[in-house]
Amino acid sequence: MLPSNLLVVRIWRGRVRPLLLEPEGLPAALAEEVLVRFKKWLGRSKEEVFEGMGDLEELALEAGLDMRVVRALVTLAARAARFEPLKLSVDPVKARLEIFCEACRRFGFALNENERNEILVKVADKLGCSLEELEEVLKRYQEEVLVAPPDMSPEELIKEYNLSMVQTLTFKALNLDVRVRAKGYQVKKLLRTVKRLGLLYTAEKLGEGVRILIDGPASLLRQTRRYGTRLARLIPYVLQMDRWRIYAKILARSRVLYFTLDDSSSKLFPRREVEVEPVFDSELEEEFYKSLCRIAPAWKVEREPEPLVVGRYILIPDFSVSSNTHKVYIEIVGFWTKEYLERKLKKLKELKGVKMIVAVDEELACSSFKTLPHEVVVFRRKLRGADLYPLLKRMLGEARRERHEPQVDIETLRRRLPDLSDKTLGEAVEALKKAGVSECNVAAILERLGYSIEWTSLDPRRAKVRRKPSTRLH
Amino acid sequence: MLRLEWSAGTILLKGGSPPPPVAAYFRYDPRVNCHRSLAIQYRWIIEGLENAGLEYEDDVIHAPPCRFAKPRNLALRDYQREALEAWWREKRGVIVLPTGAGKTIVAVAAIAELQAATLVVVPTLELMDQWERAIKRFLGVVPGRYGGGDKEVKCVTIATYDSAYLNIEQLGDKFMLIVFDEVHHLPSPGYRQIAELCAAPWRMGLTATPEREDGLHVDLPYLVGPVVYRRYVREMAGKWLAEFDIVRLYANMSREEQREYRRLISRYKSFLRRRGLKMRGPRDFEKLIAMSVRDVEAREALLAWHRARRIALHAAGKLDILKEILSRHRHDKVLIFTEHNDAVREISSRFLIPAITYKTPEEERRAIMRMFREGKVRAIVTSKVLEEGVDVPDANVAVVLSGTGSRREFIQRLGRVLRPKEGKRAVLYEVVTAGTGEVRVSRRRRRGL
Repeated sequence: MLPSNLLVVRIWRGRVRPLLLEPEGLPAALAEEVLVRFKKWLGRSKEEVFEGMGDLEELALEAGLDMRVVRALVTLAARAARFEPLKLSVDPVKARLEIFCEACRRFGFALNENERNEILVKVADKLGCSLEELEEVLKRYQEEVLVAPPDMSPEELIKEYNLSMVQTLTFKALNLDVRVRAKGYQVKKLLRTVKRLGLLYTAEKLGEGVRILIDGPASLLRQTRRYGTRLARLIPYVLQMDRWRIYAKILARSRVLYFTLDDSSSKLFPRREVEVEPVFDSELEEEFYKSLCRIAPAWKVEREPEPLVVGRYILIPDFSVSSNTHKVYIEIVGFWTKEYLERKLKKLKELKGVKMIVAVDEELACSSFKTLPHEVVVFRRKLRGADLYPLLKRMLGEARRERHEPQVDIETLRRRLPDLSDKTLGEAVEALKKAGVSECNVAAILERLGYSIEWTSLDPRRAKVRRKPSTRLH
Repeated sequence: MLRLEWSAGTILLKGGSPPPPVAAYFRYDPRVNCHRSLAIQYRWIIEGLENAGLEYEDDVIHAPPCRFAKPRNLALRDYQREALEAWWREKRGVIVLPTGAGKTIVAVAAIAELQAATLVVVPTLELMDQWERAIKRFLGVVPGRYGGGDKEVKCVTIATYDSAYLNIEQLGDKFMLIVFDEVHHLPSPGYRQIAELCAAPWRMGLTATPEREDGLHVDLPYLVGPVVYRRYVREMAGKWLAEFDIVRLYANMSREEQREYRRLISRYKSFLRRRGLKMRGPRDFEKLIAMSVRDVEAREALLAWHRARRIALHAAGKLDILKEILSRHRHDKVLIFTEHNDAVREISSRFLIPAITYKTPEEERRAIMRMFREGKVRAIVTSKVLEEGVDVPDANVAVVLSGTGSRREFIQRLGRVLRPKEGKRAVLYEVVTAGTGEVRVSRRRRRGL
């Protein structure tokens, strides 16, 4: 995010577009030069670094590029660099106060060189430091010097710039209208952040995806940019999704402008490290997932699948189980707070048009859960795959004998994975999970990748992965 | 039954639709399926429901417990009592008193009288310290601080405008009274939300000059209430404020500075002529700035204007004049104001005078202020930080070495030396570079008196 005076936009027919840079040509050259100078200029003060970039601003200006682009690049690079206060042998605050007090005691103020000198000599003597150091303390007042350059490539700097420009424009947003097609846990993350930031949303179904309209409590009553900085913090979450489009109303002066951006620009933005797989909310869910995978390998079991729209809200079920023709969602209601249960119950009550199994812990199985328009299963403390199997079979049809072919492109996977030979199975599972393969399918995938598993003990995580010698030849 | 609930700067009405007397304050919110209103309407909603004799539950204000002793040594002057009485009628409104006339005391008296949880909003950390001292001294309680790293809510809490703006969703339901010091800051598009998203039914604004150049002060009646009491500097000087003189001194540019100044100004003017541009006000100037980011010539013209202004503001001759002033006031307490931070640094280093800028570390700023009050240092040089509110009764000399054309800035800088003291006569020196645009700027700001 940048100071708003560095925001560069073009406005045309009521639409506003931030100036985004392709990581090539002049912008790439400028970014590279900025980074090279940071490396060269260790020891310079922050002011000197910024002033020293003035010629690049001129260059950009003459090349027909906005000069604020350079200042934005420098600002972002400076943020990633490390500056530290000047190291001095005396405490600068203490030394300054000593000088001022002494000056006041002696003359009131130093009115000429002689008086000034007399005071400084006396203080230097008292503090046991040199006159030069005292001059530093007075003149290089509160300077910070560059000690480490930013650790980033020109391309990364440009992507960081693009993200910052979009976020800085969003500071002025009245609302954010996000249309996405994404995995459940990605949407869940976005909505958790919405909630944590004190924002509100409404959702509706839109084709295969959802539309989420986000603003704040007072937005209804006031056209306000109050929530702009918070809306800007949601942008990185959206950029990570599979398909996305953002619409925002931007309040500039007293005029409303429209801003839109979609996944065709995805490559201009940094990919943040996000967990490829959702974390389990509880051990209960993890156990259930594993046992269901084991007993019904033919079905595709997904954790936190795509978001469902209920009324104006979004419900992200814990699991979905699908055969080739049908899909069933599963929601596990374990121990939670009263408010949480009430909200969940309300959402589930309104959910229509999908097949849903609600598994409720016996202790919570109050009558209200039994009236839900879904299949309700009561369990006691632990939920196993087998508990739901008969019901699932009825809803999905027989689990076929043949193993479900995981929908993974083996060639892509091969390229993305490191060499797994001689790794333990545990390590291989981690690597595959990172690449997006669900744990249910690990064994099958390894085989198709040309590995075999060599069991050395009963602990599966210590089993060794070996490359099958002949596969390459086929 | 109808029920009012606090919700992040707004009020939710549960248990039914708003009845006619208060319907205008609410809007239906489909996101939560009930009606919502801005927190500022709380007082009018309650009044509406009460007047109509309707029953309701009120769960809006969650104030911390409050009790303080009857204030000690709180003797109000006549005009302070009048101001308090004028405000008391509606328990809302703006009190306008010159700097140094003791506005803080009026607010402290109101807090003591109401015995209610109070949020005081101030523009600077310096003023936060000052209010903290006043609250401790007169009410005998330690106030909570909110801002500059602290986040503490107590019965009386002091917050900066910045932190109040950021945190009003958490603060807005904790107080019955909200006091805005230097209330002329409040109507800006950001800060006004402090007033709008706060439920406190009682509101007080304090300032020496409510008027804003952008005209937004017309919103003050909605945000805090109308001006309920006003006194001017000229009515009070001599009795409640120190007598003062304003002395204007002209500095000359060196021959080199003169040559450079003329060269730069003519470059700037010839650009305006070539493009047929006229500079009639700040709006025109903003246009030039906007042009300069994409237009090489416009940028050069702007830079030329900028450099010329700096030459005028910081002409070497000014420091010579400052030296004369200082030698005349070796035993007085002097505040020196300049426009730019590098000038502050230069003056501090040359005359060995402590400096306060927005970059000064907290520890050093506090030490300097304490030493200045105790007389261990007798001058401070500053840019814009100390304009508002610094309370040093025996500071008697102000030097405005450079500044803008703003009337408020000028009045505030003058106000810093007007705190009354027996036999005190204050003087404000204004140093202006002859033969430059600064002469006009100086004329503009003095109109405020």
